[in-house]
Amino acid sequence: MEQKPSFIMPAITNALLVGVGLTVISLVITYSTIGSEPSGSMFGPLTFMQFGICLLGSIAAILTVNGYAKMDGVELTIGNGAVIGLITGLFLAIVTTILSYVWNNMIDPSLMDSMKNYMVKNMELFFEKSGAMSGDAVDQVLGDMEKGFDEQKTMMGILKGFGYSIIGLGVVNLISGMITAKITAKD
Amino acid sequence: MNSDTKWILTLVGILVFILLSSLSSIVGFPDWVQHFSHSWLQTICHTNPERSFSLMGESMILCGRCTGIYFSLTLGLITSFFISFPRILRNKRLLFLGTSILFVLIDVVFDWLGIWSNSNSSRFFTGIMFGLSLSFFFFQLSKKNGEQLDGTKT
Repeated sequence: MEQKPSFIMPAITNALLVGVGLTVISLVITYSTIGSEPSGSMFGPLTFMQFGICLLGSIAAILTVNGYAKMDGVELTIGNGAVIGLITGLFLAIVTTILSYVWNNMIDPSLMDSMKNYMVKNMELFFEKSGAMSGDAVDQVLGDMEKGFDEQKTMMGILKGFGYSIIGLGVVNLISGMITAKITAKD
Repeated sequence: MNSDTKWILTLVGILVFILLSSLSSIVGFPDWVQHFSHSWLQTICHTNPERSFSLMGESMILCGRCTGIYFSLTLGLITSFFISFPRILRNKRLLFLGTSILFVLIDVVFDWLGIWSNSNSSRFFTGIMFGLSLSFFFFQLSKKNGEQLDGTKT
């Protein structure tokens, strides 16, 4: 029986490429945001960033499945696309978590605090403008937000973030992997 | 049941899980489930409550656009098992996908530039279009009289 070529190396390579790209984009947006004055709007470049990371993250599976389909002796099914997408998503979660850990702990340890201060000020402005909440409720929300940022710096917080990234990036890459398998199967 | 069908059903299961997670505060799931849902859904959506639908005084976690995408993709996948769709939906699926992405981009970029102010309805509608266009890629799984919808005999 003919053995199919492995997709692990292409998956790691594409996860590295997309992971580095995502990290660079998110750092550029983060630095430009904390360098500006808080607007009090809940929808800004940072929310665009989260939307973009989901969309750009799914490209890793598209690249891997597309490249794998072009290899000799490969006949792709939807299931193959799903598995390749899921594994690529897992590698991508590992790459982005490591890069973010290295940046936040070794290169610029003050980034998380700057981000926290920006977000808290922005939320304060938002509540001031909207007037939707009472003083105590606002304090509670802001307190929870600060606690959330502090937790992200701990090992448990990092592991939790990694777990959530696996689920999120796994799901979007599974879907994009299946669709790419269908498109390439047609060819 | 062939392997492709099993994978499509798995995908439907995942999509239902996403939609249920988004409804966790409305359904009244325990606090830890709501917290978990909110945390992991943040990795696939901005989850801004200003841009989410509200039901019974509680906001969905996913934004209007993502709700549209996952809802219509789920619906499209489920119906593809029971209904024969027009051939054009399969033959022009890349065109449909491109057009739906274009609508999403117009809605987002025009709002950003201040040319157009998008609403929950416009975000939901463009999300529905995008999700449906994704589901078109799985349509040939439906069978009719021993013939797959792409014309090949089973």
